[in-house]
Amino acid sequence: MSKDDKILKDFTSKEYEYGWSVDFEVDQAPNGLNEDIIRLISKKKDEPKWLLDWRLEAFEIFNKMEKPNWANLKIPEIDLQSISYYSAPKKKKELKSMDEVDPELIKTFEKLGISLQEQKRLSGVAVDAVIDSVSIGTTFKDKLSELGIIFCSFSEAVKEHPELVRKYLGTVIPSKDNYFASLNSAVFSDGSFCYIPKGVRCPMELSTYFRINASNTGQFERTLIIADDSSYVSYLEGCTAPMRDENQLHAAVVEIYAGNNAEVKYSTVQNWYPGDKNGKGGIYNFVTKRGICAGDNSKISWTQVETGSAITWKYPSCILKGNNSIGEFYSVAVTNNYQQADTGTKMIHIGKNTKSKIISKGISAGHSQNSYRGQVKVMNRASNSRNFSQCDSLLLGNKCGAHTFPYIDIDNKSSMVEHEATTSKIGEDQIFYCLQRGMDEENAIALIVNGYAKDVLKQLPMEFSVEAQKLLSLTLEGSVG
Amino acid sequence: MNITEDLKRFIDNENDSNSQKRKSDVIKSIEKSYSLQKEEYKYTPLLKKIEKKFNLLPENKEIVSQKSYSEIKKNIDSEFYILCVDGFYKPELSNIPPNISIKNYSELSDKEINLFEKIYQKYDDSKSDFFSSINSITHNDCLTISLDNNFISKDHISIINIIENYEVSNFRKMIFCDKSSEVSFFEQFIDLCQGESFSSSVTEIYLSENSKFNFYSAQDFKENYHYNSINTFQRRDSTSNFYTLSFSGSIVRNNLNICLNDKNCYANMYGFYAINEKSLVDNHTSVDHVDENSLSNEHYKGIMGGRSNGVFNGKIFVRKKAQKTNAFQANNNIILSDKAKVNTKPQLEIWADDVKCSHGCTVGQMDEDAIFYLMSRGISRKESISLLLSAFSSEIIDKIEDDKMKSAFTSLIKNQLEKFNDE
Repeated sequence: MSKDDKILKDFTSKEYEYGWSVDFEVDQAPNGLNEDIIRLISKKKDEPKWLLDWRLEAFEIFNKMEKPNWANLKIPEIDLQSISYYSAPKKKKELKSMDEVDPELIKTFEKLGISLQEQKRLSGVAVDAVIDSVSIGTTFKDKLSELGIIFCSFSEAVKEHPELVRKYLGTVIPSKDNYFASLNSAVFSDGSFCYIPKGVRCPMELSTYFRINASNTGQFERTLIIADDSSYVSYLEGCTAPMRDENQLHAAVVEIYAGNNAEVKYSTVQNWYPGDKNGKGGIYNFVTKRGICAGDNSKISWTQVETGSAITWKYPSCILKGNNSIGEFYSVAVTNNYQQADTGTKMIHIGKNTKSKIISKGISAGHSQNSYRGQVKVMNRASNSRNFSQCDSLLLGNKCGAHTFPYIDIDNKSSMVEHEATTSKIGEDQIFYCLQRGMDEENAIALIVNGYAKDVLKQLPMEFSVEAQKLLSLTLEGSVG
Repeated sequence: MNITEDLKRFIDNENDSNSQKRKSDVIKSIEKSYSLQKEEYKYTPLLKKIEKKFNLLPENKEIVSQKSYSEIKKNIDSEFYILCVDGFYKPELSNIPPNISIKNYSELSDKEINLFEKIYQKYDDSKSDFFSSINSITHNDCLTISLDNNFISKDHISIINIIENYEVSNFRKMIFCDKSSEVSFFEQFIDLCQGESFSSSVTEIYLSENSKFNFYSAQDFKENYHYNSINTFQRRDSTSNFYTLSFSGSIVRNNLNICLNDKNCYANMYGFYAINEKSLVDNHTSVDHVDENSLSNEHYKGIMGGRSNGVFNGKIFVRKKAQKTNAFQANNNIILSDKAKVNTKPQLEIWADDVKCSHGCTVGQMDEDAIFYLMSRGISRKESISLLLSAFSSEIIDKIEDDKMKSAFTSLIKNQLEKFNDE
């Protein structure tokens, strides 16, 4: 038992690695949330009138909403008026290539280990980096545009492809969807936009990197991914934030649209600053992510590794509207210290022969609370639909909690739904087995935790898988001896 | 809320100061229990359905009649039985075993009051469930059953609740099992009311050290609405077993709350529901592991035909202190008809690390291959289905240790399953 305690102690005392901030000139809106701020954001971004109207309508809806309190989270009062809703590194001119990007910024990404230059040369991943909710630079744009793929910042998409944005914006997550989605719809400042034309298989992983840098700002980015018929794209998202004593709000929206035979794979490694070991500071992460398999035989797959944030409130969901469409959700959520996570998914089966699979692995340590909340809903016409859900929890220590709230609503007689869940700790016999094979305890635990999360980790693209495994092992590494 | 005002009337009419205090406690939290409905009755619109139909706050008076209910008594298969009509205990119509004290709360001696005062409304869900709150305030007398040390009954005791004269009736009882006692009850509700009715029943059970308690219930409510809340509080080394059968009812809501408050407790909950037509059966169970080394085991199975709706919500709580807990929960459903629905929510909340907890839940349909296999052996389709469905139910039946109850439940299920066919 004492060894366990020691592991826990070291585990909890581990510091956040990405906790630095960079000073570069920013253009920041005054604090507060009102109509003028929304007009200001819209003006700064040079937006067309329809988008401003859309924002104002969302704001009107938002004003009538109340903060949701159903999650198994203790959410402190968030003063929306004390946040700045727009913060951008000062842009002097349009940037044509990466070389023109502020060297401070490049340094930022090098520190993150996500140097745009490096990425460009070595891994062949196209990156759209978003700092404080403004897209900084998108790599590999030319190469992608040869295939007809549009991958750019959201504001650029509004300017260059307004018809696409207008057609799909808010179709999957309407502005009245929920409190945080409405807020985002009203004040979102930037994000990524991606369009894969018919029959195109995107040859590289597309990636967005989010970072909150300035203090007192919220980040409200919006991502829209459209996969037209018979296309394929794999999309990665990563995030970090500096260490700050105060809490920062992050309320993003991700919408995915998949046409006939299209496939979208969305992977996230979320590593926002989780707060210090006494639970001070950290990001409040309220994210709405949803994809619609609108066409037949389409597929959307969500994979997430959640290690950061003081509060995580996130339910990447799939609406399986097309016949034979497939939705998948793979998640590893790690909480430590005073972190709280309430995360899961919704699988809404509408089309015939739709399939969904949910694998959720929760790991809680310290004083943290980790909840899985999911819904599997099979509508009356979704005949022969199939769902399998598995949600396991691992508890490290006796001060944390693991909770499971699965909702299973079946309205069809030919569908098959299975749900299973277990909660346990790392077995002493498992550790003993590893030890007697000559491993030390530290490696044994890392091995067991990685094995426990393997079903999810193996879904990640290689670069992310390595990072995610590193993140998991790092939290446990150095915890013994 | 105007209901608060209406409920205060019941306190003013109360002479006993203890009762007054109990009832005012409930009123204090009535808004909370009302607001919790949104989640706890998400799929079960019980209040919405009945609030316009009935006066939920009746002031029922005991009706004295010469009826002997011989028809009903004839069907009772145990020697001893307790008979209640409209929520009033009828000692003259009951046959109670010796060495067991069965009385109305108002007739208890001071010593007995001291005992039951420790239980009365202490372990129920009157502060979290609206219907329980209403029952706590509007029920008439409370039936108390108390078992002495080492009391062991071989045969089960039947509890027959008859709903006859009022469209809304409230039943309430407390059962106290002293150390090392062992007892079984078989509870049934019989509705003789003309037309629709609503009945609610709240039971509090206190199990002392080393006691063993079995509770069987069979529900067949036809077109009526029913709310049932059973609350058990267990002390060290005690065991409880619950077997619940639900066959019909416009809306039937069962709350089964078990608090394993001490070390080495066992709790087993088994349920089987086979519903048809427009019935809605909602089983909400909650097991709270407070202390170490306890085991809870829960298995509910259901068959839904017609336009019926089966709802299951199982909660398992494992508190910080409850190390070495084992908790299992399973819910299996078969949907037979296109219009039938299942809503299930198996929920785990765990704060202790050295535990083994698992839950599983499935929703599916008849296996066509299995039907084909049986038909190829010359068995008709209807018979094949009924054979497979009774095999589905046998997992629950097999858990019953008592042979007499086992055969009683088997025949009840057999009768019910004959009504099912694939649609």
